[in-house]
Amino acid sequence: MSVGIVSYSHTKYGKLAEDIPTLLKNTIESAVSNVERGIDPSDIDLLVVSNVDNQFSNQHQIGTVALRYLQNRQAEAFRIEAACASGGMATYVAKQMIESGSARNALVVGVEKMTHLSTGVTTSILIRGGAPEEIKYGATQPAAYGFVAQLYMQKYGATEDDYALVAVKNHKNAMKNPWAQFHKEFTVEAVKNSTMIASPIRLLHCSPITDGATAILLSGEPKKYTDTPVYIRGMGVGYDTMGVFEREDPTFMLASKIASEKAYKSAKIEPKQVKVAEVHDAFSPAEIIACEAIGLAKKGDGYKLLREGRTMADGDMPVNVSGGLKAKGHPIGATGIGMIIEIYLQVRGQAGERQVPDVEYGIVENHGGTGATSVVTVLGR
Amino acid sequence: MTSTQVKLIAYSVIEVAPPGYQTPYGVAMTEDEKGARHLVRVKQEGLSALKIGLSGELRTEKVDSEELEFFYLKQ
Repeated sequence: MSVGIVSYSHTKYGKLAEDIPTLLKNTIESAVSNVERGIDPSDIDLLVVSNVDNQFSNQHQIGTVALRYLQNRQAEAFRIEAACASGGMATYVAKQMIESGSARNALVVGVEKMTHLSTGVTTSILIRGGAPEEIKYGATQPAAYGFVAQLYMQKYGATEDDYALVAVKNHKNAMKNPWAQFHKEFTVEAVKNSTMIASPIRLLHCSPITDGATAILLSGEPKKYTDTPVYIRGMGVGYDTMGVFEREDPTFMLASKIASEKAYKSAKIEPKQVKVAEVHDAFSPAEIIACEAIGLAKKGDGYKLLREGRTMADGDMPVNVSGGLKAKGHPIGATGIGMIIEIYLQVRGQAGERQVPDVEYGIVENHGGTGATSVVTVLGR
Repeated sequence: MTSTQVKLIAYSVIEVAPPGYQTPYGVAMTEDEKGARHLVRVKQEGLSALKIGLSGELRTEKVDSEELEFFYLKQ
């Protein structure tokens, strides 16, 4: 069985006026009504909600809340949480349930509302994505990525300019994405002079605090609903230690390597067949390291991809043409699904100004915390 | 008070923190003589001297109700 995506819905990312129930309602209704040949809600028997923290949403049982808007009370509904990898994980669970025969069609919805809280409170919520020791010592997410960034520069000779270039590229890409939170370009110098958050991570290395909602409808019989489905050709999940400090090589994302190897194997393709990638640049150095983990560059060579222009939108291996988490935004529960939607559009040739030519396969790397959980998805025609 | 000899592997000086933390403060990855890694805190007065590869010692101290390990430069 090939599970395919037959419909999607995507809000703008940024500071949104709608509350969580309204975001769920609009996103679910839009994804259902966008099915080209139509679908009866009674044929959607699974609803998986990706939502990271109920301190953001102020809502327990969010799966059941979402069910209210599906017009099918017989569907099963629940929430999945894997920190920033929640969207990828929710998609993975839905796909597995379709393949196992537990569901025919599954709606995967991601939602997060973050901008109503202060940066300090948001930081206190996001630190929970780290290891218990990181929480105890106050090692925030930027600090944990700070360790990685510092060690990577020391080991491989990357520089702060390389990390800044990632942010510059992704802000440039976001200019062509109407959903993006930011439509503003920055220079390398501006990134390097931005406020220090947790050395060496600066404000303009960080993905922002964002509201947003996304949804994809998966089907075990995609041709029933559209002539042009995009198939999940391969998917894999991988894990590493929760804490960066515990890792044998803190400069490498082992979980994403494991997940991508599974995804490539099930898709029966090699990394070189991928034409476009969305990777989890929650902090700019992560893009470089994630590219290595999913096989787009050798270990320690990831930073050279951008120096050589290869991961630019017009390069031979465009990465984060959406603007990435950095500039498109990072409404955590919605993010992984939003990344899949970008590659879905790229494969269908419907990415507008952002379209990369001749995309047969694209890849999504969506990781949680500092890479303790990773979900990698290969999409194709 | 206990003490462990360590080498500084990586560190970060945190400027933006959850409520209740006095910024800036440091967190560091250290490695002891047996190769065991420790995640530790660095006090504000020690931040300016931090450098990868420095030797130091860990001292366990009580902060509020919790026991934390702190990195101190070798004198």
